[in-house]
Amino acid sequence: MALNVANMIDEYILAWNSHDVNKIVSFFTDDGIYEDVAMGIASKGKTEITKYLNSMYVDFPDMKFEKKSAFGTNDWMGIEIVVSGTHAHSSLPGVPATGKTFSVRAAGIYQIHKGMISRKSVYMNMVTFMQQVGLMPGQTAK
Amino acid sequence: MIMETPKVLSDYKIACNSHDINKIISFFSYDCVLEDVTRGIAKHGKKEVTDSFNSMFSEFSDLKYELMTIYGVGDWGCIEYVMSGNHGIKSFSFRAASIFQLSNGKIIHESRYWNVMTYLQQVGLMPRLANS
Repeated sequence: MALNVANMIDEYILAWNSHDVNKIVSFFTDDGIYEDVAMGIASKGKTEITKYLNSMYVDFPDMKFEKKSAFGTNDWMGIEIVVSGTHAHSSLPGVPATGKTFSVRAAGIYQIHKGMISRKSVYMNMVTFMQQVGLMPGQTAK
Repeated sequence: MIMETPKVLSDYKIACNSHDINKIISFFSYDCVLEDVTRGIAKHGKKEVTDSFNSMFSEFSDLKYELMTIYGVGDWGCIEYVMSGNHGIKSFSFRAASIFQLSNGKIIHESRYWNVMTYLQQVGLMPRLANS
């Protein structure tokens, strides 16, 4: 059966906005890879991806995702989003939570295998995020 | 005949590697937008896009683009690539992605996403984080 990419994209973003980690992870293949290119971190397999997402939602408990553009086929997807939230907690040693808000643009490139995500690579600028939450100078923190 | 989006994007990156500005600009529509999301800069129209590429190739004369993936459907496409070059005596190599919207086979909007922190750390303009 042909994959309805538009439906999959909408359901996937809905899962992210619901903070339902199990639902998000259900979109990935068992050996799926979630790659944060800016951080140089790749989570491999559902267990690692679950751990990564849980940590993210603890650090940013009000995290939201707004779709800007999305397209794809049975084999791949491209999604542009705006990610926003509050730096309420920090899982990174030595990095304090600032309580500041952020809103940054990001692009995700996805490889699809039999209707499931086998690789997701996220591209964004860490400096924009760090400046907005007050971890780097250069832009007035909100 | 209008070329398929993946072919357009592949040929566009070949032109970028040639540093042939006229060839590069031929891939854009007259009312194009080249947006560097990372830097928060958008260039509008062929003149501004030309100036942008000239400035970039002047600063990074050995700039190269190595395509990792290329996807396209209809008027939309995306590519992942590695940008490399030298900044003075320091070299850099980082991954980037671009999202494209085309019309009649021409690029009307390119949005580039990359991490400036990786570049600054590699060329020695910013200290590396403990976990990086």
